[in-house]
Amino acid sequence: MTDRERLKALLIDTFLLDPEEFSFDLRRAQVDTWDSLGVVSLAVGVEQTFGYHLTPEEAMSLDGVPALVAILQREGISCGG
Amino acid sequence: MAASAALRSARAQAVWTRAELCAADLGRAAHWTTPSLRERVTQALRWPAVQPLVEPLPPLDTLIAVGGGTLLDQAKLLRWQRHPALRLIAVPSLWGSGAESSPVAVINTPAGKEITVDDGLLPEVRVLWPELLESVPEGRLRQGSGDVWAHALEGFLSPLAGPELRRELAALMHRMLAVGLGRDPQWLELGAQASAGQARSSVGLVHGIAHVLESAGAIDAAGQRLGHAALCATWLWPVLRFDEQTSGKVDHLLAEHALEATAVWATARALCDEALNRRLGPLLRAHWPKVLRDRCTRTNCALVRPSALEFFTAPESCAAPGASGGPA
Repeated sequence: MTDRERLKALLIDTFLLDPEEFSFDLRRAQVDTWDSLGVVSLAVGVEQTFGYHLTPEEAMSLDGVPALVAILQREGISCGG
Repeated sequence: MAASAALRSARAQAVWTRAELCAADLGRAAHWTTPSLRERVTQALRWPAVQPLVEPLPPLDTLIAVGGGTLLDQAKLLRWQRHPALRLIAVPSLWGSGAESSPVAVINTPAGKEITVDDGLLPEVRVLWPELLESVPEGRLRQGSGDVWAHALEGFLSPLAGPELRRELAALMHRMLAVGLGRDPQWLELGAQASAGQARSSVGLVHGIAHVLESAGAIDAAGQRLGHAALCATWLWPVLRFDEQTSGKVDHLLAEHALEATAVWATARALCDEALNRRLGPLLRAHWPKVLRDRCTRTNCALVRPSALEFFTAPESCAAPGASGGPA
């Protein structure tokens, strides 16, 4: 499984999405489970999956999947399309 | 103890003995006591009994709530929603929930557990009255200790816990290990501190499962409804195993705080009723989507994916340590 596939699976599981609901352009405002608790779950999941610890500021500032991809890319995790 | 000083602050909580309660000047006061203890408490206190669920409260300065977590949470909400000027004194009749020491109230609704968090929910005083527990069966006390362990351990492992809170909860767990799981009044204080601690971070999947299964009407083999403490006690071990296998944080944090992992695992294992968990498997499966959406589940120390259900319903999920790759 590639990092991009692992990220997709992580986001689907974290936010309890149907696979067809997911896209790499998804915005936080489009996901009702991406609330403050979802931010916590996502940070836990990113650390478990990629070994990267999102800072609280990073986790709170994410406004969608592209922003997360950008952070992971910066850390050398190749999730880009 | 200066009772009046303690009562001035809604956010700082005083701890009294029964003697201090009896000697305090509480103005117009009454006690709201769980039915099984009402006669005994009425004999011990000089204030009258009230039953706010069946009749309006008379004009009061102080309400003394005596009972388990459900009654204490009802009293906290009653004061917070309808009588904010009322002083509230909480007297737990069982350890476990720690409702007497937390700014959290959990009530049952038709849609499930509803959790309210507000500083105004914290009682001004909690009272240690261990004699009230003399008639509580050993099994109930043991389940209460399981609830305390779930608060302390999940609060400690929570992704929302900071270093200072982790140090405090680790110190508390050292004391809990030293006390053991028997009938010991020290559990009243341990339970209060664990509950206050978890309120500063969060709890996790143990509580997520307990909230959902309790609302779903989980029963034991004798057909008795399972309460929150019983469910927390029996699910602590499998959840700890899941967390340990899914995230490296469990081993790391226990070691960092000099908590002997084997002792913690052994305690969790001793609280688990394997047959009960197997019996609850189908109910857990039926309600797993609700567990995943529970706010406690979502702050678990390890991510709980939908596929985690297979871990908890597998025959070996409660197996003896080491039998399926779990911690030895």
